Amino acid sequence: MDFELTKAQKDIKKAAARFAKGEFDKELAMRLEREHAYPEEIWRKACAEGFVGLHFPEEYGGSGYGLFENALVVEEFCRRDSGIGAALLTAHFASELILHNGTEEQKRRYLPKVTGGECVSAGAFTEPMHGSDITQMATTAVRDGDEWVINGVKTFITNGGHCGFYVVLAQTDPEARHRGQSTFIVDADTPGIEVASVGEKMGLKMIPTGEVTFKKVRVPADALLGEENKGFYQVLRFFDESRIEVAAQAVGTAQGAFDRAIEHIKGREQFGLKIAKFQAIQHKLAEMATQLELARLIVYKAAWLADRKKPDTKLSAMAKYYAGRVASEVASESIQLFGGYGYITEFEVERFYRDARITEIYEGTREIQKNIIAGQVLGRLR
Amino acid sequence: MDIYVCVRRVPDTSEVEIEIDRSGRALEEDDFSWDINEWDAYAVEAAVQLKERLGARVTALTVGDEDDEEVLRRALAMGCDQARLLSDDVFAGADSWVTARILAAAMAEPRPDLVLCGAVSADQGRGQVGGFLAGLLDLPLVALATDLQVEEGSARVRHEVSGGVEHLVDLRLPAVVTVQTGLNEPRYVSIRGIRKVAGVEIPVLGAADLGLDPAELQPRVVTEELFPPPQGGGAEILTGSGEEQVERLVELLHEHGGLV
Amino acid sequence: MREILIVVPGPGDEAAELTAAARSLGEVRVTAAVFGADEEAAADLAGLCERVVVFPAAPGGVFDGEWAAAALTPWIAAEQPFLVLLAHGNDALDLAPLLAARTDRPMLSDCLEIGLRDGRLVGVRPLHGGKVRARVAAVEAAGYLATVRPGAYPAAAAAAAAGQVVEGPAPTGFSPRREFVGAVAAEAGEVDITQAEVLVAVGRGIEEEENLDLIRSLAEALGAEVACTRPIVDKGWLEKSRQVGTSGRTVKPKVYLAIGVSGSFQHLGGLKGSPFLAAINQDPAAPIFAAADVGIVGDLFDLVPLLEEKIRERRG
Repeated sequence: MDFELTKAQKDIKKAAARFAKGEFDKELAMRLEREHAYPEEIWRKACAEGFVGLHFPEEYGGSGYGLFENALVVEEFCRRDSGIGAALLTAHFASELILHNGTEEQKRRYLPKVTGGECVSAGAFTEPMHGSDITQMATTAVRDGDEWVINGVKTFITNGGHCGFYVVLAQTDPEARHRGQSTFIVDADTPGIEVASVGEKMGLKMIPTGEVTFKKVRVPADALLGEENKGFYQVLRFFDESRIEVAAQAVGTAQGAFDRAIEHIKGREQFGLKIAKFQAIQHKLAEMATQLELARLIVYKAAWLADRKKPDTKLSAMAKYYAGRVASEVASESIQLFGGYGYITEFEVERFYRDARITEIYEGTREIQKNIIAGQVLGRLR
Repeated sequence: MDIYVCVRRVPDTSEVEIEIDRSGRALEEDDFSWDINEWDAYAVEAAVQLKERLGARVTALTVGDEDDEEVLRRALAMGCDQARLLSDDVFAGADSWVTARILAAAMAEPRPDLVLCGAVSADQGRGQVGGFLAGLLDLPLVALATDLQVEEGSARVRHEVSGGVEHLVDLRLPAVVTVQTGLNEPRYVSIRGIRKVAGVEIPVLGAADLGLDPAELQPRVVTEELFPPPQGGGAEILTGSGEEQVERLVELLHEHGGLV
Repeated sequence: MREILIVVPGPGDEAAELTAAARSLGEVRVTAAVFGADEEAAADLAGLCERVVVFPAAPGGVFDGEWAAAALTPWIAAEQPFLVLLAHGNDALDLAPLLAARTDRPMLSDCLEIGLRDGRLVGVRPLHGGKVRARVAAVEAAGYLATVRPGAYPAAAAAAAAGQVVEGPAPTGFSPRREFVGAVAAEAGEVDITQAEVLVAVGRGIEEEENLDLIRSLAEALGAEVACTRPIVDKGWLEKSRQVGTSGRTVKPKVYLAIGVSGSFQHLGGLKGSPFLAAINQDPAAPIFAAADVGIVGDLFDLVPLLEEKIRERRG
């Protein structure tokens, strides 16, 4: 047991904090959010410095670090700015499916684009009728000679319409439910793909979220990722890892809101109001700090296990469930500590709150996480 | 060409409340986050750029303990070729004079062609080490460089002098140049850079390794006590006629450097 | 009687302040070292000090730390002044530590106060950008060197008796390793208040947009940039880039003159580095006065034009 970061991990954490401090500007963040614009320039720089996909092997443009180091970066980024941080951490979303299941050729073709800042990626799993339940897909992929033909609608697709390619989960054997699903890499410019906005979102306003329609989209046979009809299991494994990343996003977002609340409270003390001296405020802060520490610990443990090739589905779900809850609560209480100013955009905490809420929703709602945790605790019920 | 760049780890105290510890001679460090001294980051960047342009060998040096090693790893990750942690129990309590003595000893072999230092440190703000090094190594000095061009055996330096003016000077190398912020744009430490230096063992050199006699390492200046700056109950409200008040204000503004 | 050498690189009030600092140590004899000073300047110095040594100017006619160190080192070795004093500034960074090393003297930097204890030099100096101060003491030595923060000592008045003016020797065997090429004109920069050393901040008290001309004119007289509070930006009177505060820029000037600024914590939150803060406000209870170093309670429309006039007078 060792609770200390290694030297390299400390360096990474500091490098991420420094990059974020240098590049994430509050005014810029507010403008990007207002204009629903992607932080293009920062994303390119982050790729150039190796922050995007640092957990990919070096031959694919990564640095060969693990989910733990990635979690440290995500945390520091989101702590400085919840919106820009989210845009950067989702830049490689679903690329891990290629990393884990792809052929050498697929990996070489797609992963360097993501780490090198050529394009962002997207995962097309969720469907309008099913939400977080992915055991039955309406989207189908049918073999036609040397090609697959994909039909269906995917929704709430992060980076939809903005990415270079999608990893699409589709039913290849309609009778076999989750045992008949496969994943495909679909280039975003393939004919037959249409993207519509899902509408104005509460948060994550810099990241496009789309409803993606696949109409007779033809992809070559080698677009199939891994084994046919194993897609569901691939995606489950991916979620075990990606939930750790979302949990790290939650911790960073919570910490960012908390930092701002503390600064505000101390600042007000300085000018005679001494609000930090009220015991009620102190107790509230104590609760928030404790929640944050617990959330961080569980995220670190989940990442640590995953990096030791012992990914723990239950722990990943717990990390995402708990850290997401903490993010929403801590950000919400931070607004409260700001009083009226907390409700004003310029003081940032309301944005952190709006961005925190997604961590309880995407990549499995908190209810889904509870289902997973309960399922793991109880085992199979007869 | 051999370039030495001297760096130091300093606490960022800009956003934290400072508390003096029980000894009365140091600060409570619990809330501090530490990083390379801002000026030193510019010095490292300058050294690395010279290396990239001219093929110099850059050695980063710091005097400190194992916690200070991180600034050397940072310097390496930015592109320095090697680093030396100058650390010894007898270095404890080093003032800037002793620090300069230790640094100078570490430059004995190979001899420097160029020594780069941050012009001042954010915490102590003494601005001494570069000048001391120039004296100890018998090298010419230019302080507060805002531009640095090096060619074979010489350097053209733009630097800040008093009165808001800058001068251009030519230096015959070897020389010591202290660096002002804004000289360049220090690069970020990339993940790949961190990866590259993660396995590097940074040599630790003590007094014996450097040929220093501990008896020679007596500080020349000691800090006896820290105390908070005097804080009256708010502003001194000026009195007298409007004219008198304004005249006094002009005087005070001038004293504090307000008449640029 | 202790000998104190003050080194005066250029014109300005440094000499009078350094003389005051030197005389604060008791019965002393002050010698001023200057480089290539004309007769008038030397005579002015002679009004302050017991002796003025005019060393030849460095090649190029400008102050040059390398030249000055070469000239002063043998002089100091021969005369053994108890203390060498310089004003802490850019020129001192170019010379003082080099000179301290060459003459093998303990050096105190950037002192707000200097003093003597048991014959040793002691001082008070700021750390961490002025957030804390340190009492420091030099170890026992034959002589000392210190730099004193400008403004720490009020300028000494000229003494009645004029000191003697003598010529100092050029450094012997000096072969320049550093040569002056030329002066660089300061670049005309765009507005970046975060880099400004002096800021004149204006708040709601200015009342009307047209009145901003008063502030602009004052800032020009000071050589300062104009900054402002949130409401001024909200009204569209000044650019957002000039706003100081938690929702604006964070600035670290040396001097901050707040005019008609109430001093909300949001505004003051953008002010870092403990600048000298002066405030003009009509309301004696305005929170700005709690944070300021000095304040005038009064009508800015009377005070600002008067202030500008006095500044311009002082500058000649």
